[in-house]
Amino acid sequence: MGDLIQFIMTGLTIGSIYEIVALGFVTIYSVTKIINLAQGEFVMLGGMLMITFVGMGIPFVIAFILTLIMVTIIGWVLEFAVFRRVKDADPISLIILTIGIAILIRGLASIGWGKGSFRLESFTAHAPLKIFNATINIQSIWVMCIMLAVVIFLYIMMEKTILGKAFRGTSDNPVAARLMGISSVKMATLAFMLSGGLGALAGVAIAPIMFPSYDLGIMLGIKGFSAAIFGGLGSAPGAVIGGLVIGLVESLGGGYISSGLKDAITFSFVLLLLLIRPSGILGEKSVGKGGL
Amino acid sequence: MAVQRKGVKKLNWIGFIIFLLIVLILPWLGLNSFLMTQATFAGIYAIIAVGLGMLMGYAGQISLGQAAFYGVGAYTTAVVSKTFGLSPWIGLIFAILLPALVAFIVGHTMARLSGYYLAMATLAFGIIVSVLIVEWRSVTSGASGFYGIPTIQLFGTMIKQGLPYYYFVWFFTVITVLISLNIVHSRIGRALRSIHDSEIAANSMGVNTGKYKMQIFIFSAMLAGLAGWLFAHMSYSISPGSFGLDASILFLTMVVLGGATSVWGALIGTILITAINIFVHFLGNNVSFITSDFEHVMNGLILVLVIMFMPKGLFPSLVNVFRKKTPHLVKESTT
Amino acid sequence: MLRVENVTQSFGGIVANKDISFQIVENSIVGLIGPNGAGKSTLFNVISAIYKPTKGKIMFNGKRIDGLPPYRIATLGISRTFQNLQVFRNMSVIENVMVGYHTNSKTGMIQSALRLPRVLKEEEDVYTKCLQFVKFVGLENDIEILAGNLPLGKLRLLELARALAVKPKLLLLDEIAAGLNHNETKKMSGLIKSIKDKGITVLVVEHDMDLVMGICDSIIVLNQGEKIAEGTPYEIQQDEAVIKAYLGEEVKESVAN
Repeated sequence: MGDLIQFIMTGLTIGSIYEIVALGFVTIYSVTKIINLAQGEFVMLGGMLMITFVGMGIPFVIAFILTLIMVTIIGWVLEFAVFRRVKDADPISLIILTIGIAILIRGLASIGWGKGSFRLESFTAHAPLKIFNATINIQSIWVMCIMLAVVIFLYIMMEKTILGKAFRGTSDNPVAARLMGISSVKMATLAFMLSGGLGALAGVAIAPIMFPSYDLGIMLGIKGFSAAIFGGLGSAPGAVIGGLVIGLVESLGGGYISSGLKDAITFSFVLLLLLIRPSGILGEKSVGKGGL
Repeated sequence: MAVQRKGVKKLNWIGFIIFLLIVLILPWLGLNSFLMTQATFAGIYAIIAVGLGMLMGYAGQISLGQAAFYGVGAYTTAVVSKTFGLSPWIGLIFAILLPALVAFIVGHTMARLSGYYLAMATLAFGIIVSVLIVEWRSVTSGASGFYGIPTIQLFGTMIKQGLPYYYFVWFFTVITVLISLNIVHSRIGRALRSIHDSEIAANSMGVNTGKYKMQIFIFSAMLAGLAGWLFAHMSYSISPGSFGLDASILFLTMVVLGGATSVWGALIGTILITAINIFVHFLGNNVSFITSDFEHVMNGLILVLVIMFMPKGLFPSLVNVFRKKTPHLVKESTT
Repeated sequence: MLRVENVTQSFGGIVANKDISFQIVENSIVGLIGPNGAGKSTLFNVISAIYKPTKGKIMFNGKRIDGLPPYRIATLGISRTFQNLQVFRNMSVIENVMVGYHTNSKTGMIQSALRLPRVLKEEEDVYTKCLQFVKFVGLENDIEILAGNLPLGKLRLLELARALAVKPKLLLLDEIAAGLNHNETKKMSGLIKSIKDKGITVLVVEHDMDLVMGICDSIIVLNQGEKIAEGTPYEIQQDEAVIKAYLGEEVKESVAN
């Protein structure tokens, strides 16, 4: 029983991260129909920058804000310098483009930070909790709380603010939105910045648990992408569910079957899903360039 | 093109002869052993790239897991020739057939996917295979690597690393290019290109798109397997690191740079990337901060720049420029 | 030759075709008309196997064809053109037509790879045969031009040539005159009549009433998903329901001509 709880907690923790990454995917996709496979790199940058700033002696909260700002700006730069110019490319070219960006960022990170992995202290110093014979790292609780906060924040923003409504309008019907005076360029910029920020947040949150290194981004990006597909590209609730499910599959699979095989198990699950329902459990909201 | 304009057909032959000559003469231009190895690798990678190019440029599919077939080919022959002690030539048969079988099984499931979903599926597949290579220690010896792969023997002589192996590899590369060109300039090539341009129309004209996508997928897998075989018997040992996501992306970069819609493009892309990597290596020897990681930066940069400015790749873009400058070889419409 | 039996096609909650039945007799030109939204394109796509009908059957020469994959339809002798132009843009005119000839040739992957003399001979053969189709539609000066560089009028002709290369028994033309000017439409009418003379049955979906009334032996009229009339052009022009459906505008115009 204790094992099960342990695995579930780990699964929910890692799932929360996948879910935030997946939300980043969905955010950009819903507005621009681009799948940004460099999303995982935002997370990596979040973690690495935070560690660097803290290492420089900057107080925790300020380092956090600085990190968020920097990665958000990187998101903005990406949209501005690259994606704006390739909006009409076919999906395969776009996929390749984002892969290129991901590798570029990863390569620069390996040059800048070297290949080692780093540590960040947990947000609060507290002994791990014991629930039903399972040991829960206090940072896991932090991660899950942050995930919850992100979901609530996005919900409020999208449903209750004018900006959010403009965002959703552009994603549902870009032409109509433009006719209403909503600039799709501004929305795209917002989408990228938001994704950048979300990624950075995830990166900082997970840093105490995952020992970030320059190549943290790839797997996170791919798994986050799987989570987004699981829930149906373009569906935010789907991304949340997808992230948690993938996290649980990985954790339970790794725990009960074999930890070395955990990635194979996770991706077999994803492959199975793609076979059965290529448009995701909740279905793809918009028939964009993605699935056709 | 199925039937080429006379001028272009002649050009293709001339190009091929020049290519052949360069391949034959290159080693005598004073290559040290590092460069010789690189040139040999270029031949091996080109085989994979040509296959991937056919898949992407002609059938309009994408594969982010091509290195998986490369790995299966390499490990298959390693096991056959060392663990079972059979001749590497038997290893060749299995190195080509096993990836084909895997592609057949996996391809059925991937036939219905396209775009992002297909990319994800190939990615997932590639990762599953790399994990299996590492974890199936009893067969592959896992992460520490598989040692003791025998050298290939041809008519009693061992084909050793260096000059002999260079020619050995490029022999296969040339055959691969020939076969691929034949397929491209045929009914099948037309069918594949039609799938790429409009799958719905291709279907309505009687092209069994599912079957052809599968066939070309299997073909590309077989080529990657062949490359794996060549790689395994060149090195005394192989390890999982050569067959992971980084490798798949490297092959993708070669195809994208050279141009997926052309066999020559894939070849040129491979040669260019190899040249760039050699260049970076030399820079690295002389400038301190440039490490092998710089290759990753270069790859990423190339992918980004090519898609942004030359999405069809180098070769097709050059062909277009050529077309504009030699109207006498081409009949243009005067509509 | 073609029998559409009680075909109903719905997408989600929308019924695009409701219980439609009709027959097409061999060696005739049949028109399928109706106001916008009548369900013509949907029915067309059902017949050409792009969609599988929710209910009903399609019989072709006694064989049931609904639910078959589209590529099988071509082997059985049905080919089509596309209203939204699905030419192969990166291939030349002659290559486009040669793809149409695909089911009439058989070189496989392995033979192509080895470039056997037999393969080369078949290629020559296919090229020559396809040249005929290109000449038939009048594009012989543009054989090597990339399809993507052609103007609309020639693209429609290209799609026609390509569909003919399938050597169909039944040819489905999806608004083949859309966007054509008066002369081009006249030429297209002439071509369609020649096609009938060659023994091919033709089903046209059209908005151009001149074309339809001019060349069709019989006409089927759809409105709001249902078949409301069937008959000769003369009968259709007199039909109350048809006139009402179109609000009399275009039909009266044709009657006046």
